[in-house]
Amino acid sequence: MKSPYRALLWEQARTAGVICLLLGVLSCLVVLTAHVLFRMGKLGIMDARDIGKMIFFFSMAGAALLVSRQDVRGHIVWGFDQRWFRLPVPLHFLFGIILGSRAVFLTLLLCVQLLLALTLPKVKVAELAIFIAIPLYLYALLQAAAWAWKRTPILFYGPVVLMLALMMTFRFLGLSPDEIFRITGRTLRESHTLLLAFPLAGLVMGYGVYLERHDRYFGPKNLSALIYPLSWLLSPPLKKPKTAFEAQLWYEMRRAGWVLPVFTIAFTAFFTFVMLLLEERPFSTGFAQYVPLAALAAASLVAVGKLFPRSGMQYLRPIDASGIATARLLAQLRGLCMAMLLAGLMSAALLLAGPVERSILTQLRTDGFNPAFDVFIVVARPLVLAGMLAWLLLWLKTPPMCMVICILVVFLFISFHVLSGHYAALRYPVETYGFITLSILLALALALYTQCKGMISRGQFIAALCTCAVLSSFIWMGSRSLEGGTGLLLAVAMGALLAAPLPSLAWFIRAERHDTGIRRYHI
Amino acid sequence: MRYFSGRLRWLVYVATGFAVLFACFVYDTRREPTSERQLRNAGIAFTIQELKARYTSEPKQDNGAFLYLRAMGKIKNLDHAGFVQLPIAGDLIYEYGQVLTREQQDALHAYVVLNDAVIALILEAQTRPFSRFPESRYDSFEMNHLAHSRDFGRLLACAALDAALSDDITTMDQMIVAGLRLPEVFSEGGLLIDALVANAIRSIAISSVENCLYFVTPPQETVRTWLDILGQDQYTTLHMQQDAFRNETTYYHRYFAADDFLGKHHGYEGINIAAEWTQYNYFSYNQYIQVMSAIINAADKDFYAAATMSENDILSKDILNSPRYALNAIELPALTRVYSSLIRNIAQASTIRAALASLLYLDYYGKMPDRLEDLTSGWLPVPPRDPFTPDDILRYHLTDTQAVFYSIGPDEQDNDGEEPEESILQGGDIIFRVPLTKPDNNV
Repeated sequence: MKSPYRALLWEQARTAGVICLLLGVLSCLVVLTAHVLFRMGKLGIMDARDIGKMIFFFSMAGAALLVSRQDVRGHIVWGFDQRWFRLPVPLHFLFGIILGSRAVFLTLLLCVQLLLALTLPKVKVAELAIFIAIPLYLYALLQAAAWAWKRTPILFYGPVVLMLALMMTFRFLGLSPDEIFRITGRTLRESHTLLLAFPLAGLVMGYGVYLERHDRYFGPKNLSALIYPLSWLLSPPLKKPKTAFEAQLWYEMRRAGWVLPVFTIAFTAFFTFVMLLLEERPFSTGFAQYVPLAALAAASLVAVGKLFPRSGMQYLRPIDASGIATARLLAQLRGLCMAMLLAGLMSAALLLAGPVERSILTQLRTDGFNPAFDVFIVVARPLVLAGMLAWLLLWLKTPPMCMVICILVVFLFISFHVLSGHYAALRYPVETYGFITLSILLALALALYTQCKGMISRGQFIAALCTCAVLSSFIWMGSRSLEGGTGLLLAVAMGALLAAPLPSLAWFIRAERHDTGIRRYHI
Repeated sequence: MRYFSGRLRWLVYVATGFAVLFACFVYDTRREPTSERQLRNAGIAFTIQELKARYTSEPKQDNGAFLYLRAMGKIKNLDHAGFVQLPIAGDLIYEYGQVLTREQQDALHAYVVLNDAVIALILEAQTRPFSRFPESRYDSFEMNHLAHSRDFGRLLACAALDAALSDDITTMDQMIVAGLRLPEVFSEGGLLIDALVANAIRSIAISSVENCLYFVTPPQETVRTWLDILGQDQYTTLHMQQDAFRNETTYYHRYFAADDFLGKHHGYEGINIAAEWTQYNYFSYNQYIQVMSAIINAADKDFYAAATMSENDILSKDILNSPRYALNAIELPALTRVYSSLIRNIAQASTIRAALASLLYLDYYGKMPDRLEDLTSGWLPVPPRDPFTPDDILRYHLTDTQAVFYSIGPDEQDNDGEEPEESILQGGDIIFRVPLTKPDNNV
């Protein structure tokens, strides 16, 4: 009979070894290329030295990859493998083997990279020390988070909150941001703090495994659990539903409709708090009005995580994919509208908290102007922009929409870099017309394809077109800077992008419902 | 409709809110922005085109500036050997009352003769009804007309000194009058740099009068002519500078419209869209206009208030912390302090007026006035005000050889008529000296 240790060791060593070997080979290739380029005179000494530091980013990626694993469905996950508990191996040996093998291979990778880096000119070991330490600390943190976050997230955000609270206390005691950060930095850089990190991470991991073994939790399950009781305020009461769509809509509103408004408030509070910590006069920066708008965008990224329910019950509902998609869209739209309203109010309050802005408005009043409408526009325009951005970000998790956004971002990024300098005159037309063409074509193709395949009904297709037309006219007619035909086309492109989530979501939900594995998105 | 009365009632509210927002945005695009209304209220042109229309150079045949421009192409310099010996316009630093050697006088004369045609064109230009540079001045940063105008000032100062040394009173008078009138070309449509150059030219002309008076005593009519010119608006008020600030506002407010001086630049559309939808410029733009208006209005106030105005009087210190107001934080504090140097010129003009009026007083009464207030009986309309004091008049004292008329200067300290050692920034007074060549009871 084979030893269970042998199998476990082999599995861990194989996984960690392959990851580290691949990264090691990659580092070798990079260093070799640097040597060749250096010999050819195409690479300066300083650049070669930087490459010596750069290869340690591979170890950082390795630290993240070592924590991951493939689950039985073939998905890459970072969580805990329940099968480990069923192995006939004592727990301390089990996790000792897993941690030990990963740590050993990561250390080996770092040693190889160090030797490779030392072959490059002007590279000193002392300069590389920080680059060697970062992957180790990163691995410790990620491993602890992978094993303990699910059962005791408070152990992670608790110390951060405590530290911020302490810093804030110092701030209220009259210390300047510079002094506070100097004290904090000095405390964190102490050698015993740095050495304490590894045993502390080990303890957290052990505690996470213990909680997992006994199926227990320490503290609230996650951050949203703290604010979930408030979510009923933002969700409509349950009445007797008359149709499946109404029931689905209520469910979606109840499940995810509160995320955007609540997280917009939470992020605004957090960002304002950070501003108070970082700035001597936080409201004099002139950027306070944009804080709730940044919070809205950040909240939409959080809401992406809440977009799809974890259970598979949605697939059993007596409603088609486009109905679920419409209900989910409407629920998120409701959440977005509430979030925008709240963000607008907070933005106006933070704007008027600025002494410079107040003095300018007072002077305007003194000069006989009424700046009320101006203030409304100053708040509303960026708010609408942030709302549109948040709406697009919300659907990042639906692959067709993600693909559209990625294509646009990559196109704009490439044209920015390729058409800089001598070709600057070409850049704006290329970016504009490229953006217009790609946005309209991709959104139209998405809508037509989903309609042809029956993923959305004709009525929904027409509704999407009408939405696009209304939003385009809103953007075009409501903007002074979008002039002429190009302005109109830009507005149509934006309108098309904003209407694209409906077919995208319908397609995605149908794919989820009829999960055919890796080919679920085949055309 | 059943949905909209039930669970989707919120959608009706959203649609209503959207319609209101739509209407507000459309109205916002149609209305005149507050910044432009502010500009209009302050009488500031919106665009460079408007500026060009406001300060047109037509009719060109009546416009002396075209002759100035012609003369600019003809100005010549001495060779190196001559340039080293040349005072005022050359390498030789000329001190008040300095006795020139024969070589220096020859160089001075040669320089004037070499540029006879230029001087003739300048004199002809000043016979034309008005003088205003062509509109193309707003199109580029090309500053040749400014540099050449300073050259004209130095050339006329050289010509006046040359005539004074030759005892040619008529030519000296012509050259001094031309020098004093030279800044007229900047009096309309100028920018701040034009106002500063006009200041420099006025200083050269006033120094020229001081230098010539050291050697020559002009007749009473000549002094009266000079006094009349020095009583003009450009020597007694800040209107020209005010106009320059107004035009400067037009010139620079285009930054906020993402429109540079040469027209639209690459990618301005993208910047415009971003600026409109983020409203990033709203406050900085309005603040810029408010501060510029305050600076413009300061010219109508008391000289002392304008001279001592600083950024703390107008700008909040908070803008220094904010990247949103970065352009204003860089530009505006310096502009609020420009008056101090502009009013130095007013002080110089005040001293020369007092000095010339005293010469007339001397000629009439046979003695210098006891007090400068005495000059108001026929020679000056009001006592000569020192703009660097809240309400005092100029100081004045007599020595055995000369009378010194002085303003206490920007440092606001009475240095007893002592010139600054190197620069006015180091303190010292703004002085004008007159040698006393006639018998005087007070001496």
